[in-house]
Amino acid sequence: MKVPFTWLKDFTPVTLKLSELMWKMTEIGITTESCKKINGEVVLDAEVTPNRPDWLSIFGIAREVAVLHGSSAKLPKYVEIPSPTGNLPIKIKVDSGLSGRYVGVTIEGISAKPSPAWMQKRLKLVSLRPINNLVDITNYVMLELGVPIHVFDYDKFLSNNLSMKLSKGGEKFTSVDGLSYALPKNCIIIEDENRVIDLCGIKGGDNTGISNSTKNIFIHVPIYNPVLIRKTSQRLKISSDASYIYERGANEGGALDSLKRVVELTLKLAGGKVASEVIDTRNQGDYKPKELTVSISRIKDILEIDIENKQIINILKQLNLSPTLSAGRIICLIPSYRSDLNIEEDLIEEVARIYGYNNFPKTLPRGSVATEKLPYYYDRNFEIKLKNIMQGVGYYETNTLALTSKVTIKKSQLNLDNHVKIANPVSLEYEYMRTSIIPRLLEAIKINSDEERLQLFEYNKIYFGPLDKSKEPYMLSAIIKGGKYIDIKGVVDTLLEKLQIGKFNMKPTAAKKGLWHPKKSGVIEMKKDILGTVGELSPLVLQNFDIKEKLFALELDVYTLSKHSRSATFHTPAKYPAQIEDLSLVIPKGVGIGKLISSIKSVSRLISNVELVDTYKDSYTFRVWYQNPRKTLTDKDVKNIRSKILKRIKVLFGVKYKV
Amino acid sequence: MQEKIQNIKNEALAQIMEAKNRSELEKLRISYLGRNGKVQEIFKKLKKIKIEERKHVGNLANGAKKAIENAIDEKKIELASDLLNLKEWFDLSMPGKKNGIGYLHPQTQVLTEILDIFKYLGYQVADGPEIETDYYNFEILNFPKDHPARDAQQTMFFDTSGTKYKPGEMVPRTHTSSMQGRVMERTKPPFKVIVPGRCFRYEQVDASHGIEFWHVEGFTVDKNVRFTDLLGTIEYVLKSLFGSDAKIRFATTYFPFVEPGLDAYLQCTVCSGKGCTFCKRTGWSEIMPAGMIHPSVLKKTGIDPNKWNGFAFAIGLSRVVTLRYKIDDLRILHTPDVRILKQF
Repeated sequence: MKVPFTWLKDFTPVTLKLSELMWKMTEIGITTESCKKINGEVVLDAEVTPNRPDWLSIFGIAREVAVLHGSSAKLPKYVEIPSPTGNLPIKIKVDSGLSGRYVGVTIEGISAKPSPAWMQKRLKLVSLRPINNLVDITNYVMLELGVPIHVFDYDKFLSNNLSMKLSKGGEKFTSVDGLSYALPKNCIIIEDENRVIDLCGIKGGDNTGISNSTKNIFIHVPIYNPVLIRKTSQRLKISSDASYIYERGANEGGALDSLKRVVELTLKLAGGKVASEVIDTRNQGDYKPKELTVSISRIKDILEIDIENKQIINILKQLNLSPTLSAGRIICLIPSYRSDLNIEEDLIEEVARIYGYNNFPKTLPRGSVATEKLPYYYDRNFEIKLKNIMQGVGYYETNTLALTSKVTIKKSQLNLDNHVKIANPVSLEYEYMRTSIIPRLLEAIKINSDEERLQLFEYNKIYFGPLDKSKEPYMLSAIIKGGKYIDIKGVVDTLLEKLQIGKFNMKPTAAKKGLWHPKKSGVIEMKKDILGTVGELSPLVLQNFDIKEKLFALELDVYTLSKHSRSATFHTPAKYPAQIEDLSLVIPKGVGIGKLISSIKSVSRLISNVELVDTYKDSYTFRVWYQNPRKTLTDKDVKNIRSKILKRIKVLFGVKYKV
Repeated sequence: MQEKIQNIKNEALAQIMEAKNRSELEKLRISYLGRNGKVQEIFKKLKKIKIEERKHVGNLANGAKKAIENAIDEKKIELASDLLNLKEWFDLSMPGKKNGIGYLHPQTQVLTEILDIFKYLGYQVADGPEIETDYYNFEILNFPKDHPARDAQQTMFFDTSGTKYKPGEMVPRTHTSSMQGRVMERTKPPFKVIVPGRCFRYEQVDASHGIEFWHVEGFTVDKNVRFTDLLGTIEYVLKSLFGSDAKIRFATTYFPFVEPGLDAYLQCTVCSGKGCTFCKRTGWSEIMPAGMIHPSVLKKTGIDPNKWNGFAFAIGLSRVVTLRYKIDDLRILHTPDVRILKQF
């Protein structure tokens, strides 16, 4: 809402400095962060929130600015509409479901000419183009008082029996802007003789528009159903200053006053005489202010300020809410333009905002802490634990976007049908919710093309459709460039060790489509659960992303990880030293080293550890720790166990021992 | 006696000076200072000396003992001089080898800080769906259908074709406030809840706007919650995050789910209020919209507004991160460039 400073001052004196005024207006709810100087005049740019349609007018803002100065704004004087001396009859059928109040009157014998310089100047300050006195007056009064007005060329009516109705769909309409439409269903329209002369609330019709030769006019000030106006505006993708006001709720109680003001200015600036009775589908008496009560103790309990009753009453009085004190309660009379004041809390806000939020003391809540876990409880400690482990093994945390594109999904060889889709994406780059974090990590590899070695991880949600049964599990994903399989497997081993997750199985992923290399990546199984996938990424996918290096990655399901993680159990370190020896073995192809090591360990409880310490061609050197917690093992003991090891691995894996 | 002590001392010092290695030195130490050493013999003989002379002789013996000990220590150092001297120059300034360190994302770090502040205030962390229903995202929060209040949150909608939902019924949540309805429907007060999470809006992407951004939602319901509790909580949180010198001010604003509604502004930490690109030249940054929970929201979730009330707020996490580290482009927060990630 653009507010020229001088126009504001018509209604209220302003003594605050400009910058202070702007902040104080923001403080009470009219966010005014900028202003411009246009033709030497200051024009404020005020942001009006949807709950205060009464601020969509210069006078509405002036009312608040007056309160900032501790006074009330000067009401514009409304001149009664003279009784008709001309004869331009007009009738209109109005449906109250379409228009809550409808007022109008005809004027005979006007002269259309440019509006006076002061009016043109003001219109230009708010970026409206002056057209002629009649149209300009309707815009001027709409800006001043906040109720939209339209004026028709009476002589262009095909009949003076108008009807307001809902469009059936298909009706032709050309607006005063010269744009033609075929109207959809359920737009509010006014017709004479079966043609549309007004797209109500949005634009007037070209066929009845004002021109320089107009002599007789019909002025109407309708208040329309906000929802219908909004729907039409959205469907046709047209909006106007008028539709903007109607969507938020124009003031029915002010319709007649606006008409009076328009008529007054029209008679003064365009001449003519009133030519009909004033049409009014309601009584002004219907808009008497409504009572709303607030208890003083409630104000004080919630606001906790040391405010005297006198001050509360004063604030409400300045806001034109006519407060009276009665037995600890304040009874206010809410004028029709304050459609936002409906419950006690609304009045409490009025007191608080005018008292000034920055004048309040600050306290901390007194209540107790809930000891039961709330619904949707989230254990962030596990998240931090995982992130710390990843940081500890030298990975950099990324935080990438959840939305992705069809192109990326296809490049990743993922199934488009699993993805939840946005109906109105901002661009095709952000159309689907991702089902894996890995594609973004691939993009990260490309962004950091200068790095020879790159280790990235991310902890975030992925999303699975269909929408009826959508799931949003948290995943821990990581990628490494410049490494080998044992590097990414090492991360998995570290994680599972730190989380005290026990034995697990690996099965090849085997899928020919998808992100993973079917033979060089595997699914990690733990009891009946799948922890995730680890291994080399599919060379086809890498080709699609134009990445030349081999990449290894992991993607683990956080919930499953946490389900299987345990607390550490302490084991006393052995008092007696271990016997350590290295065994060099030739391992035939196809024997899983991990399985071999597990096998060796299971030979005896006196084997406390087995590690692979060296490899050369097909020869693998394993270091074996022999240890008895209760005594030092003798060479004979060790020899015994060793021969059991060699026997077992020969039987199971066909491994021969080279002496 | 005194002469004897003097002789022992001189003899010891001379031999120590001549010692060629540590084991020789150790032998000397034992022979003089050991349990049966020459100095110890003197101490044993002290009892036989006349009382008037005992003190003086004792002092002499102690002096001798100390001199011998010092001589041994210094000789040790001299013998080790080989080890303690340098043949070549040693470079203390050599860059250290940093073991492969990883980095946590700046947002993770700031979020941890924020959640710790709230843990201190007694809040529990909750997490909920980003794929949300219109009901929880808008309706239960007092945004009527077809009302301009919804325009302030430019909403994207999910494609519902082939599902049981009507168009417009499912949305990527536009704010974490969607969790208010979910939690409040399923639990009884009193409670304090904090919800960090990703939100989505239909925006043209630029340096200060993104389609995806992070919020931290908080809300509490209890008996007799005061407006001043809300102001105090906001001040406490912002000062904990930005320092006790942080300047804060409040302005009235409107959200359908709170009444009174307000916005908390933080004086721009980048330009100290002078005006810069971070604060759109105003010197202040909007950082925490908040308000007292609207009674109709409480009613809709089955909480009696006559017995209970509360407040709610949202912290723009993405904005806090950019202010904290003086990052001038929101897009940096989701760009996985290691030159960025390494800085935190």
